[in-house]
Amino acid sequence: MLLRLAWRNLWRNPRRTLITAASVFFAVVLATFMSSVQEGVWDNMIDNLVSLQTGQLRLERANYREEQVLDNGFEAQDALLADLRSIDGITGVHPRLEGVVLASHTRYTTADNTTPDSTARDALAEAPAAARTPGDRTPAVRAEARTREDRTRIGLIQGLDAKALALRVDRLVAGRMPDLSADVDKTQPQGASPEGQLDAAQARGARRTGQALLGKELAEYLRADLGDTVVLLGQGYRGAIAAQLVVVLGLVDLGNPELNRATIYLPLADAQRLFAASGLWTGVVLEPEPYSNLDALSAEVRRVASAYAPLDQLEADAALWASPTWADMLPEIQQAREADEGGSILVLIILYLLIGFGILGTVLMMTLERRYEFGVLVAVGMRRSRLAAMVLLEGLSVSLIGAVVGLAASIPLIHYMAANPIPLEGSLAETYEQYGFDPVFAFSTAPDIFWRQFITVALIAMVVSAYPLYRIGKLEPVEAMRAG
Amino acid sequence: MNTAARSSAAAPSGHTHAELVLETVNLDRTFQNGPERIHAVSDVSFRVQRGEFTAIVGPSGSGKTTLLNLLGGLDSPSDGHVRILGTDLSALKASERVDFRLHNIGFVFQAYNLIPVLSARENVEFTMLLQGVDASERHRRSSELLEAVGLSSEAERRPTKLSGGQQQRVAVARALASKPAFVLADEPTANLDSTSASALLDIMARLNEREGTTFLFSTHDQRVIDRARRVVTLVDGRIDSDDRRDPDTAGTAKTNPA
Repeated sequence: MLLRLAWRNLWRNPRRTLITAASVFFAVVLATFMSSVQEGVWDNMIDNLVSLQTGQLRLERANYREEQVLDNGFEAQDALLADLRSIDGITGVHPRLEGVVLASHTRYTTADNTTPDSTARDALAEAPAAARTPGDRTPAVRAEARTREDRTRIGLIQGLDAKALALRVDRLVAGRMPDLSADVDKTQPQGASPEGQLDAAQARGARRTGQALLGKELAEYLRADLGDTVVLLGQGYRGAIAAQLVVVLGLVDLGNPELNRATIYLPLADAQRLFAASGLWTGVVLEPEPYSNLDALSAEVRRVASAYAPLDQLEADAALWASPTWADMLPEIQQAREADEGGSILVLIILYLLIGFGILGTVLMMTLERRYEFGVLVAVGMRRSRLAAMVLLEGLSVSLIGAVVGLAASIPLIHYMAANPIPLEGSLAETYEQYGFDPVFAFSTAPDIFWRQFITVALIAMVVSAYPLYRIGKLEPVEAMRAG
Repeated sequence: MNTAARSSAAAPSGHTHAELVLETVNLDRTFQNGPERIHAVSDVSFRVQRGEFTAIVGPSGSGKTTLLNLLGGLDSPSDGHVRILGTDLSALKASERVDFRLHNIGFVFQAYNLIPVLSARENVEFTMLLQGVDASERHRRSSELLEAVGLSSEAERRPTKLSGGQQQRVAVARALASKPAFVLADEPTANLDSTSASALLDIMARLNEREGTTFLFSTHDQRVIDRARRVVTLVDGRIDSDDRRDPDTAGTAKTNPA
């Protein structure tokens, strides 16, 4: 009956109850919306960085993070991959080979501003003048009028397995994905290409070259178009010289200017050839199920890896391995996120204060206007603790009604917004890009955004109800009935 | 909770005049109002036996309500003692006094004070619920009490749908639901028209005569005073007179303050 009594008391003044529930409702929707945007924007950025750069979780040699060089890689082991794949909560494993190179491209520009493709261009440059006929307006004439422009920039090589490459297909803004079937002419167009098709000369050259996807800003800087050949030069495994020609098969937009300026994706085998590191990985990126406990998975990954020894070690040992999470690998991002979230806590506190005062107002009115009635209830034998429980139930009920309805409205709204993020334009978009964010208001649908509101509102309601409980604890029936 | 008191309270009703239900000894209640010390109740000593139908009368400010609060354990005396079924209320802690009231004292208030969100039946059942009486027994007893006060047909109505007289009858039923040792009624007819007041008094007199329920009223309503078999008159917080009447003459006799 206590519950029934509390519930009915709530509807003694329906307007007040509804107003209070509505204030909780709006606060919950606003708080959820705000948290979702904030986490969504960060998640989006981190997703970009994580999925395209570090991975959520990764296995590598213990010394690799300190000194990220090929010599701190380890040999490819299929059994290790199989064991990692069998871990509960891991949905994918992707070996990688990463390294740093200088990427260089030479651009020839003719007087009529046409740019022959690089392979044909090189052939033209070396063709003897006698071989050209006076009337021939194509290669020879244009060759005489051309100007040469060399551009070089540091490139971050990511040698990826087929699945990891395939995951990046939605990042492709021009060209096509590498073809990884062994005996196929890798540069032949495999279908419709946004930027046209490669010609036979390119195809001939490509047999000697690797295939690459370039970050769009890197390609822009190098003035490399689709089908152009880019020279990669660097240091390979154990001091070998890394030198390779790669054909630009596609351009990718990684949603992050820094990544766009440096990233070069190669098929894993091409990367191993480039660095003279056949059978070597620098890490294995692990795909966890969404919202997994990464720390627990990390420990499990290390445990599984402890049965294996890297190439230059005689015995297997867990200490030889590290399994950093993205937050370990990108600590500055994590810190920036925490700092940003710290700032927004102030706004959330204001929202929660609004909720708190809304509930307090209702509970206070409920307490003060029913003081006489409370006096009567205690007089006829109702213990103060029971009375307090009833009032607490009333306060909690009105709060939870608002919170439940607020969540019921938030969940579809946030999911809709997550599916349809708001694109930013103009200077705001530029600012976002400058700081490495995708210029969109992305929304997070992480479950904790929603249930956190429940807990917070329930806690607020409990804290706010402490005042009426205090009043009830001190209630003297005679005084209460006299005051009434 | 005093188990002896509780079992005694739950004893079958009937005229057992020899049983002492209530006793006050040199009861004193003073209030400090700035520098002034007000004696609301002074040196009040009297006894009430089971089955009495007593009116405490007196002019406004004579201390009736203060005395009733002391008798009901709602207030603590500055001096003296209130003993109900042998239990000294002063010896009980606040929470124990709440439990003692629940099991031993029924209250009827001037303003009815029913719980507005509960039906008449639920109001009657309320004190039984607090006592932990099971649902079927609650229902049986509430039906019995509502029938006794003539409100069986209104059992499921909420107080706002009942007249003042009907509400006060529900309040009487509620006061009796916990099988108290006695019922304290503070100006029970003050807000009622004469027909309703008369009907209410009939019910209480019938309960007193048939069930032996002990009633103690504070009142200045002549209709109540006329029906009482004992009239205790307070003047300035002191007992001015304590008249007992023959049961046969009660209802017609006038008070006779000493």
